[in-house]
Amino acid sequence: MKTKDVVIGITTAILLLVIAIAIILGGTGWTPLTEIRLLAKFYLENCFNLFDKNYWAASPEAVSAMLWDYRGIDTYYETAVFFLAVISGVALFRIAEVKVGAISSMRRELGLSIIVKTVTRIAFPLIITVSASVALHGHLTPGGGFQSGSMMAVAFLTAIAAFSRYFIEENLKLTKDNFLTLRSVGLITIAILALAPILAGSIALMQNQAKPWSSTPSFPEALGILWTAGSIFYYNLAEFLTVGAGFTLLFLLISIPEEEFRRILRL
Amino acid sequence: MTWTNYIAGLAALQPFLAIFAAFALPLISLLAKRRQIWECFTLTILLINFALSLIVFYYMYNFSCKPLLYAFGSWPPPIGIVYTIDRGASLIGLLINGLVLTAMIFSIRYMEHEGGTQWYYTLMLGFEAGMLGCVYTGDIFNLFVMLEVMSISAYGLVAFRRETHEAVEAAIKYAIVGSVATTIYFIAVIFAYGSFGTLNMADLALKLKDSTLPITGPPIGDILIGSTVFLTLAFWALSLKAAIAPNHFWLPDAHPAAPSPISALLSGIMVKVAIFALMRYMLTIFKGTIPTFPVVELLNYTLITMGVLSTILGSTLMLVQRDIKRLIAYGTILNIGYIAMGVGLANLSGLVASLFHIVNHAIGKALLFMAAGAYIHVTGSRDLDELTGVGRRMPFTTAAYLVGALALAGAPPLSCFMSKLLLFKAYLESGWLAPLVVVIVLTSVFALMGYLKVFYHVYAKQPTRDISSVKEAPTLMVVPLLVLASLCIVLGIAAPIIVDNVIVPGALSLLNTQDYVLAAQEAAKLIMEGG
Repeated sequence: MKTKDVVIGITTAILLLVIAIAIILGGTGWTPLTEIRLLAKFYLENCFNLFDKNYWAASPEAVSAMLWDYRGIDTYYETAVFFLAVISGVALFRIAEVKVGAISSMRRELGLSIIVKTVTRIAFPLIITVSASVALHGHLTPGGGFQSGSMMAVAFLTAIAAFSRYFIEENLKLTKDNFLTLRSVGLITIAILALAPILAGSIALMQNQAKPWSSTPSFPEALGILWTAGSIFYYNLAEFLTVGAGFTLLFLLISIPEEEFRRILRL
Repeated sequence: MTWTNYIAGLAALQPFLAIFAAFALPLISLLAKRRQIWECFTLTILLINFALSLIVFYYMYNFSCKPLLYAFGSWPPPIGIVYTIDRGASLIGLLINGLVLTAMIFSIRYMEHEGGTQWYYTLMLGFEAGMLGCVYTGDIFNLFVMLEVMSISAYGLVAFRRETHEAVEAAIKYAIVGSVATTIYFIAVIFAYGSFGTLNMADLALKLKDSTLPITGPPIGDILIGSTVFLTLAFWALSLKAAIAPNHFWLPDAHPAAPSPISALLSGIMVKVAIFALMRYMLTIFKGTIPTFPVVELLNYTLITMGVLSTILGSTLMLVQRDIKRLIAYGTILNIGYIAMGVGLANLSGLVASLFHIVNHAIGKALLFMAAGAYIHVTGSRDLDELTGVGRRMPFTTAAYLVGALALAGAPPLSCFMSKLLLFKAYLESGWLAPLVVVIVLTSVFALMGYLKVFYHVYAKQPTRDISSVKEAPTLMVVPLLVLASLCIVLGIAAPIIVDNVIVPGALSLLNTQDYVLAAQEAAKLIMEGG
């Protein structure tokens, strides 16, 4: 073992010890906390308070209300973090107009056994359906855009593992650019939703429901009989597309065989 | 409607717009495959942002002596996230926008032979948004998010030249170190929220004085321990982002590996954003508020020690570099040391010196990196020995480089001379820390030697190879250089006016905890009145 490793190990241990002691001494509030923090209580009491709509977010799901309404701009920028991370990946793997998939002759033999393939064929649409339901119910039940998007990407990941990436590109006819487009559409939707109050003539970015102290009108709480919690439903839907397509894009990129990537880099 | 302000809204719109544009650019690049369109689009957005920041800056310095508050989603603090714009923030915001704009114009020709520039510009827009958000925000968790936006784009940009293995290696190193720092900052935020029960910066400052904004109530945990751990961890994380020694080790690899305009932004402004966040915590929020345990004072002395260490390390290591960009990157460590020394004094004169040096160094360092970029663009080499004599065939670039080098080394009457003089004065007045002025003088001499070494190689020395094909850099690269060079001169000559009218009010606004808190309190009154 090198001295450097020992130093890093000891430093980490000291850091963890200090943090642990600080927590025991009440640095993060007394543990166990007997009451909910007042700010959390405020969110819980107000996110779907039908009797006092001054502070409400029209969403029975408190977490979604916090994510897309009370602290909405954080989520907007967190989406940007994920977006930029994927873009960094795309920039690293940029391949100028060269078709991937030259070894097409052996494509039939790619992938796992017929049992796995069949199971994946069955599971694939089911995973997509579940992920969509999580997204569509994000403002009502636990879930939301990021979770459902990750689930959707898992469906594509299983397909990549079971069939190889060429299956997605050629049988499903979904290329890297398709996912990029899908993702951009989701992202731009989020940005436009956030800008909507500005377009309505106020300065409140990302405002959802009307406030007594703000002249901006509310997002409609429901679309016909469909409760949308103002803008939260749309945000979740757009985030679902964004995250799902973003992750799938990354999976597609990292499943380019290294040899092939090197060959293209050398061209 | 006075509580959430239109002018502050214009500040909030800048990072929002940059991210919106970043979202849209990949789609635009799929629809229109011409790089000119992507460049025009990016340029337009950056110009709009620059104009917005100019308006905010002008308004803050002429019409508003108090910080302005902008509430996202119309949620008053502490329910939602607010941006609090004071004069200091508007100044740094203007600096960020100006430099990113300059770097972008420089990039048009610099990146002309590279593929995938749509990703480059996307990341650049994200980078700008992250930096602006860090400066404007009034929320400790939002600062974490914006640090991430800034850092993630920076990692991607450092790795952009993925065909050179140094770039990828430096980016991986940088990403690991940077993620550790942001994670540590996140743990710090947990402590702050855990003990104080709020994420709003003004609310933190109030709770330290036994007061509070509505809703959040009194502190939940032990705020002494909570704020000590928070400050220490945040200090560590931000000093790592700011590359103050001994946390500077990642910088000499990461900054030179990026394309030159990005090096200019990383060295010129990104490290300062971290220092600015540190200023916000140590001078605005937590200043002199925990009488029983002098954590802020201890951290101030730590900052001075680290600053001194940075200046010594940076200046001596500069002298032995052979790679032009690496040499300039060590200069950043040196100058960040000066800025840290000024902040560590925690008084007005130290802060004025630091703030002025932030501005001067940002412009000077951006100039040097871009000039180095021009040499590299023309000759294709970063090695000083291979650059010998090319300066004679590139008179404008070399003239700009010389101005920047002399300015950074502290030659009168150029810009950094004035800020170093202010730092010198601040230390002379500081009592027992006065001997540290020796460090300032000595390291400046080293810096001069280091920067002139480059000048000697590219201009004075006889060329070792045939340079007859070397031509002056393209106009689009020379113009930004000349603009920055003239700024170096103007900031030096007009220093007394600028210090009195811009820097001192900016520093005063950063030190004014009372007005900062008042802005949040006024907005929070809405909750008490129920609208």
